[in-house]
Amino acid sequence: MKSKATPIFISVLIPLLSVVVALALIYFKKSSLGAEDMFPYSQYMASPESLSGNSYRLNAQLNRQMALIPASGRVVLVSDSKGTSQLAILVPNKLEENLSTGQRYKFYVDVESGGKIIVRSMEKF
Amino acid sequence: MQKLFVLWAFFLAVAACSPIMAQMPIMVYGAQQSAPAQPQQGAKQPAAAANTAASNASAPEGADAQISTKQPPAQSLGIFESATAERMTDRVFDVNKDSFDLENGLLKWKGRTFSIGDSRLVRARFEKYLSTPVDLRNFESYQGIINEIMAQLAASNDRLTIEQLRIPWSRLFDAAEYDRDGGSSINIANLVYLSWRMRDEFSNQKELVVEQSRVVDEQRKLFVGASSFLEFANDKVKTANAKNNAQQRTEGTAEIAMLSTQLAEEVTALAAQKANATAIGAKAVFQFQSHVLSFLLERKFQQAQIASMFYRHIYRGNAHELKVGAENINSFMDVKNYVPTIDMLEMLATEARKDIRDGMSAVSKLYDSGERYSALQRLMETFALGEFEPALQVFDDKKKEVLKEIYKKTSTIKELADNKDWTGIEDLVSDIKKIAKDFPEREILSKVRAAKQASNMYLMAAKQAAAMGKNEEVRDSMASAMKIWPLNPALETLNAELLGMATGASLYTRKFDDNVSRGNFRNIVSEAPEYGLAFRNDPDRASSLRDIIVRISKVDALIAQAEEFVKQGNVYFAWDILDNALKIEPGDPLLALSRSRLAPEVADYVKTVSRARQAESDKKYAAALNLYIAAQEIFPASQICRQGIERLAPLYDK
Repeated sequence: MKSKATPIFISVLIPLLSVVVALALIYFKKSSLGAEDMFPYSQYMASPESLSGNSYRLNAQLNRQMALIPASGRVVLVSDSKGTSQLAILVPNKLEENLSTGQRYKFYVDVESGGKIIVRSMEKF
Repeated sequence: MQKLFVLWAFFLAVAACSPIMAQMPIMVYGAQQSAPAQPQQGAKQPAAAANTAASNASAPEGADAQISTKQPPAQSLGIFESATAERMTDRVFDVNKDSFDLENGLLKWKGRTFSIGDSRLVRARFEKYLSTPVDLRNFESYQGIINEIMAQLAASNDRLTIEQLRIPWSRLFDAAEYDRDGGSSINIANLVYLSWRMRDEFSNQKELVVEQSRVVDEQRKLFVGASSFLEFANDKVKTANAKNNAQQRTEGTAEIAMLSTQLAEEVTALAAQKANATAIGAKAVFQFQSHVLSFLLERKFQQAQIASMFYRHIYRGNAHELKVGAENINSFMDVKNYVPTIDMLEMLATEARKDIRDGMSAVSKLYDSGERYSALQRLMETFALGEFEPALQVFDDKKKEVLKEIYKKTSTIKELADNKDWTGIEDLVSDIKKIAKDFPEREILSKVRAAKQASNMYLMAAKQAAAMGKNEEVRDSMASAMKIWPLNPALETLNAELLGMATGASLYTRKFDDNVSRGNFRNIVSEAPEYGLAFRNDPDRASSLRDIIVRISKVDALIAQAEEFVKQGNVYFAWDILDNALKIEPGDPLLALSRSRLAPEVADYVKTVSRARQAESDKKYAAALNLYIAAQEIFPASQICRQGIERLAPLYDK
């Protein structure tokens, strides 16, 4: 004999679990992103090649677009929150992002050979 | 009127001699060279002296326009500066119409032309005068005798008898013993003696005339007696005829005829003797007056004065009227019916002597005040007027020695001007200036400088022509330069340069190639004119030379600009400019030096840019771009960074 309270419990539990799972996913996702290092500007300037192969997070403001390379993407100039340290980074076409000058972004970048800084992903903040 | 005549005669004497003196060096070296055909009317000696250099400098055709000197319009000669002469200059010597032609020794005066003699002889006498010391004791003795004679003959001692006149006359022989007398006193003594002898002859002749007159009178009486007797006899005969019809008496007619003839002969003889007496008197007067005038014209005024005095005492009355040269003298006078007398000659001599004393006084004063050149001029003028005068003879020997030195040096200036030795003239003028502070060197030196400059300009033209390979022009310009200044030292230098051009061309070619290969462009630029001359027939190297000169000039300009920015504290700008210069001439040592000096002050920027360049050269364009951006943060206006960023941004993904 089935209890009348069971279906109600189940109907309440499932959404709760979904919410919990969703929150957990969001939490874990945030935890996994927050684990990347901040881009070491000084080290890069001292030895761009030495950072090749590394990935970093770069919180910066987009100053201007420096060049458009049709085959690759756009070279943009970003600066840190103080506006003193500027960097040129490449936003690949495949990200299909609309870039706004003056907008602050979180760039997830990979440092490649020759000191190239390629944006892997980005988001406004 | 008499005064006017005196002054005229004074000038006649002066004019006869002074122009000659005017040809003496200081005057001569100005005028003689420049315009031989032009009468030398003008200019006191200083101006004439200055004209010397000018006229000589203007001799070469090429420099005519620059250095020729126009003669001033007719001016009075220095000789008219004596006190009396100056007052009468306008009346006696019209400076606008009259002139002295020094070249040909002619005086043009009142429309007439006179010969004024050999100027060289007068110059020689002046030099001798300056060189000859005076034996003052001897001179004083001589002058004492002369003064004694003059005192005895003074106008106050009128009506001297022949016996009284014999005393000064005999003293003339004493005076003649002295060398400086030059025999003048003997001449006067002879004239006086001649006059006395003539007077004796005249007296004898007059006695003969008296005797002849007596004979004529007796002869006339005999003639009258015989004629009267015959008339009486004829009257008797006529009466008898009326009675006896007798013939007229003829006895005694022949005697009367003879007496008549004798009377005529005696009258003729009387007339001849009277004429002879007159001729003797006239001859003596002519001789005496001629000598007085000669003394005057020879400027022996003292002798003229003494002779005139004797004349006044020997001859009286109308014998004082001037018989010799009166017509000529009158032709100079505008006054009609003028009767010149011997007294005028004496007055003239006295006046001239006074002017000479005044002249010598001026000489001494100028000398003592240090104006020795002017003193020399005044001495020359005074010498021209009365070189035999005591006032000149007693002039201080030491002063004469100094003036002689100035005179010699000014003469040498003339010779140097003839030879166009401008440097020599400058040296000499400097020497004269040390002795004579009033020497007018400015005009001389300006003409000398003009001549030198004209010569140097021709040499510059020759150099330019040589650089362009125009040999004909080189030759012409050098010839012109040599004409103006034959001793121009730059001529020798240019000659050497031109001589070395042919052999030097190959030498400079090798040197140029070597310097280019080593990048020693600054060495090339430092000898650019020589390379230019050497490559006048080598267009390729000439073009290369021009390119090097332009490049180095640009670098120099940028270095100078950078130095200016450094002074203003804009060190990064300065570096940027030097960096641009580096692109023009990377190996320039001067640029490297400037950069090394500035580098410590812009080390951070330089280091970053340097790394950016290195990365770019390693084709690490992204790293290079970010380094340029970093450098631009240090120096936002950096041209290097801006250009680097613009260049590398499109290459980011390479």
